[in-house]
Amino acid sequence: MTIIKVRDYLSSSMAVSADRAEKIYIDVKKALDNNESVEFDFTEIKLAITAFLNIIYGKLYGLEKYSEDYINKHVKFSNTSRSILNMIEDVRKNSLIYYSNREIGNRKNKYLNDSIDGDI
Amino acid sequence: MEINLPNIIESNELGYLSLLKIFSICENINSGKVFFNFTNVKFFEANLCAVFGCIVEELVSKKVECYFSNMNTALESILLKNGFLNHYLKTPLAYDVYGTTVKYLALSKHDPDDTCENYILEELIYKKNFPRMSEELTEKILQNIFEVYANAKTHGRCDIIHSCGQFFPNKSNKPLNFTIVDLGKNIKDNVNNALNTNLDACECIKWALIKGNTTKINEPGGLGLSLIFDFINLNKGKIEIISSNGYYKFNTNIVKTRLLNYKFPGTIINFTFNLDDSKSYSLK
Repeated sequence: MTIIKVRDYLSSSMAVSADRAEKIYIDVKKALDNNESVEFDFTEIKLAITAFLNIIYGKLYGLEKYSEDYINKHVKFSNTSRSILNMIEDVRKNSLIYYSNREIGNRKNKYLNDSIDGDI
Repeated sequence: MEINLPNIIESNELGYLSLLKIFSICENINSGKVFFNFTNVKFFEANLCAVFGCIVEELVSKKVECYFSNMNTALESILLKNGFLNHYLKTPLAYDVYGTTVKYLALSKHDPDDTCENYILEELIYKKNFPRMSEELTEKILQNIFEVYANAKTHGRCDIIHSCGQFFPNKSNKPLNFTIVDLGKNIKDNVNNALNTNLDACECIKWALIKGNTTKINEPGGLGLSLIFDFINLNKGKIEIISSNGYYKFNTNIVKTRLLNYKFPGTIINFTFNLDDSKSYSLK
């Protein structure tokens, strides 16, 4: 089990930086690739945003190597506030919907590899 | 060239239209000097320095010299307190006795992540004259602002994100206006490219605001603003989005959209938060 202490990657108790989220994602992916389970430890994190959670967690559901069940079983969270937990669940649901339509979406939007976010 | 500013510039459709008109004039100026004449200006909502800063920055990047003239002393005082004039004229910052300004920030993509976080904390949370907000209200306001920053910074393809705010303690509800502007690709282009459609700017903004809709590929997105709307509604606040020639306003559960006569190449987002709010939020 790899424990990812989110606070150790950040400069404050706010989980808002996409750059830092990417660093976490790399470490999480590495752990999963080593057949380890991952636990995100949110101790001392007072605030998070979905843009951050999409990167560290939502994207995992897009890894073709792992099924939805595998991610559900091997990725856990601890010490989250209720609001962050609610957001994590929103991000999970949104990712599942997104990735279930991904092939169709990709075919429609081939040019978009370098595109920016339409959700502002 | 002289550009006369109108007598009232505030966070509403007319105010943004005025600023977009000025932007479109400046887009075509590639050299020389521009004099922004403030003679007629009776009221300029200071958070809109974020938009005005964007205009000035565009000119400066083309090596056009910018001058501000005939600004009344009250406005000059505010723009010295919020750091706008200091940013461009290198004058000393004035002390904000009443603590109602939220400083102008031109955030470069090269600035470390902490710059934005520290700015928000210092300007919105540690301000001693701001009303004491509940932890929940504070969290929700910060979430809203950071969601928008994250999108602009990660995907905006722009060099600078401009932001500025103003608190109005004597108005009912004690509103705090906070404006974030980026010159990245606008929503109309992104959505139409993604969907292969030819929707107008307002339709594109509405599409982008639907939960889960995103033009990103290979990773999910599209949640941030849907959560913002829930909060804005409960807080009785307001959000305005201007992108390309689309104007979109949401407050008290009512959406108003309008196609403007001028275009903005990026996106402007203005929040009005009601700080006189003791409600408890479910944080969902």
